[in-house]
Amino acid sequence: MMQAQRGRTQSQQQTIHAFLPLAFGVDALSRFVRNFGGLETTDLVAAAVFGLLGGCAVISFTLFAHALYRQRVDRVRDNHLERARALLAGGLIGENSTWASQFRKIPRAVQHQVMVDAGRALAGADRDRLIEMAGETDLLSLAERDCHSKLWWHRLPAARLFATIGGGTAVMPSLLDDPHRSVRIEAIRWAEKNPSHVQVPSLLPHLGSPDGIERAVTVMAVAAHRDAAVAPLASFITSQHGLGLQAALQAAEAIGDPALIAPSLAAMDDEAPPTRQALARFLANVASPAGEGPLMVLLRDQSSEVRVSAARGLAHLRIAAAVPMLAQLMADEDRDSRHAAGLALRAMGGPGLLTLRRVAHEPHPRRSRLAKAILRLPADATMEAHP
Amino acid sequence: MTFADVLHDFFIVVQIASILYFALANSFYGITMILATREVRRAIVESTNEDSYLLLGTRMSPTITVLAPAYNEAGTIEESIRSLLGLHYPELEIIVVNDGSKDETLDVLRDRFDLIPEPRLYEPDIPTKAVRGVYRSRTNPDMLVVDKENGGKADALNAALNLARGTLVCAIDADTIITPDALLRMVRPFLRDPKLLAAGGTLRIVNACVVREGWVRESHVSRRPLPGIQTVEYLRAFLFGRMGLNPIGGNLVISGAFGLFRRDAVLNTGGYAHDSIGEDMELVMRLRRAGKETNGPDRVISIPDPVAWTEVPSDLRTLGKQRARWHQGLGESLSRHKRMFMNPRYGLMGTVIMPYFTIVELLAPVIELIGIASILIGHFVSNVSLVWALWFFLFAYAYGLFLTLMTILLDELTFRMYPRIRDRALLLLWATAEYLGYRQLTVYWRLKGLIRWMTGTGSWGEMKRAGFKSSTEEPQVV
Repeated sequence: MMQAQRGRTQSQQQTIHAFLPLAFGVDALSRFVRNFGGLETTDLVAAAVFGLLGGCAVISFTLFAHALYRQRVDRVRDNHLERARALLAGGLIGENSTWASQFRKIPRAVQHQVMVDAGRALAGADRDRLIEMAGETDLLSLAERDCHSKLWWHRLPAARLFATIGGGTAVMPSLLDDPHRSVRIEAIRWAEKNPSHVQVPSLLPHLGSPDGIERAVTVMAVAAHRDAAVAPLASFITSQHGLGLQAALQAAEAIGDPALIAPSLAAMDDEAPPTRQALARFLANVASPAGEGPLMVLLRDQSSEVRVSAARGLAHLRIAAAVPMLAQLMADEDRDSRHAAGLALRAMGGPGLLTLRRVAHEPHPRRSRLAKAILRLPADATMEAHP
Repeated sequence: MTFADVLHDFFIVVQIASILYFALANSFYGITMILATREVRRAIVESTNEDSYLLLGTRMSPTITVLAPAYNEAGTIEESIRSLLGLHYPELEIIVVNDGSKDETLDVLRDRFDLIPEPRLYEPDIPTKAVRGVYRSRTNPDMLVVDKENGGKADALNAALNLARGTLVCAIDADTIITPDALLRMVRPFLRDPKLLAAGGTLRIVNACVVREGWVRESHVSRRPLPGIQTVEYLRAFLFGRMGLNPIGGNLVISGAFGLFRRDAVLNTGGYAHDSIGEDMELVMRLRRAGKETNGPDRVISIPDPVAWTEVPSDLRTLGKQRARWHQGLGESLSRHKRMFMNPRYGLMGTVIMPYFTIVELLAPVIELIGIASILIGHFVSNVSLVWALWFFLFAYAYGLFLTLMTILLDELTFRMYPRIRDRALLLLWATAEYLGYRQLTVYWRLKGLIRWMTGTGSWGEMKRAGFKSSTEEPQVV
């Protein structure tokens, strides 16, 4: 068989030489493959096949071994979880006085998980009792120690425990500057729930984080400080642009203090449309005469999203002086801007409706059609899913 | 030199070309396997370290509009919508489109969700078949129902897009079951990357699973060969195929069953193509192309989290139709955007990904067929060794099996979606059986799709329904 194959190989090589220039390359390749390591091609392929099948056998073995191992681990963990939940419930309602000593015997990862789950579900006096219970089991002191660990996977569960159930005032502020993103986020969440223990300036740098989730959590944390955040936020706004400024304006919107209007106006010139949009929303929310002029300027913004937000803001504030500009915006190229302008006029009542009726009879086809359509809407129609 | 010599050399050349093709394609698969493992590991570390419910407490999560087209789904629509209403997300709008159903779909919706007419200003960005009315649910105010004339899935999605208000839109199939925290998981990459255009989730097969009240309660692998083998296929496609393409920006497909897109980008590029048979892929390619051309967002990623469950065909006829249609759609989408092929202006997408999809994905059935035919013909007319061919087949089989088992192992080490030992055994069984008949059938179906695309036949009649009302200039109250 082998000899016959070798014979065929020789004859193939001879004919290939005479075939095409392409054949030279093919020949070289086939000769390389055939003579590699002094083996026949089939030997090489057979070796590869057996190698791969051996690999498949190893993978299959690993698959089942891992499955069996995990099944066992999960079973043990489920038992621990069930027991820990029962002990915690017994402790909470005061049925089991020795719960703490039994709870300590359960692996700490499970203790953490049960506490965090309970912390999410409880509030008020029950939450306070939960913190006490965490203290009774030494979980809080151990978590405080873990917060100083060099390993982020030790710091993270500890930070999550404090962020969910409370406590940790001595260690959590320092984690706001943690190098690991997830730990930082937990520390910021903690700061939102414990505003009296954190200085606003330590939170503000996180508003400029490239990570959207970190920014989102920080906005909520800054807003939770209410009046205490106004002065530092005002100075922060003046020093920022782009993402940081956008997030700062969102925090300002949540706080809604007129003192933030003046520093925020620098955002009118920001390059990013979402930042100007955030400014329009802030100005609409703060509802101060100081914001009316800038809102009308934003109605002419080059970005349609900004124009839409400005139109909605003006409708919210019912600024009659904006009526002519809104009527003009009804001829905008962008559909959302046109609609927002028309609906803003309708929401303004008297002067807006009069303008709509006038526009409906104008020769400008797009504006008049839109005005007619808006006037046909019933008075109680909810126009926008998300005004 | 005789004719027989020429023929003989021809077969040698064809076979060596087939081997080179095989080596190229499988090297690519090997590389994507390595990249996918890294990518899945990174995603797992991120998702286990991060509380996905964090976003529920913030006001900065982008609004998402779920677009759910429905056609003759009276039997299942209530359960599907209840599952959507149970999604955990702070800013959610759901738009169900009744695409001119001939059954009681609209009546069921009216009855179960207490619909009332919702007068809306309707000035569509994308032309669609006429919208007959818009309704809002009194029991679930975030839910809108659009009743329109029948125009196909793309048309229904476009009608929903015209009314959507979300920053992001999530297109789903009405029969897809989404996990409750799916949107919270899917939105995370959008918060991290402003250049992200779309994200696709990983789909799993629901056929043998236990579903109660709209949720998957127990996940199992089917004991029936067709759904079972497709489970293995989907695992490989989503967990290693698409995840491996993430790091090189190679994702050109987001499944129509579940994908999240930037609404403004979809509207700016004209929405779903009415005349496309593979509207999902075509949209993604168009979005990415527009992103590259305008220097806007152009990244598309796939996330490994199993976020949606879908039913797959369990008979050969339906499966064959589906696969032929997919391949036809692939050919059509690649041909529509052939301008990107080997065009350095489009970066790696033009120079690597488009050629890969064309040569390795689109032409694969042709090349496989040529390879098999040349061996058989070559054996009879020349002296091509069948023993060698058999070894080559075994090598291909072993390599394919190796990659599939690696994917199953990857799932085991990460998500462990099939916790029972029996399910793992079934996965191994179906992975082993896949190459023995099923694979050859898919070659046949894909060839059929390829021929339909080349000849312009197939279900085009259904898709070509023309006569859309050009109403972009005419605002109306519906």
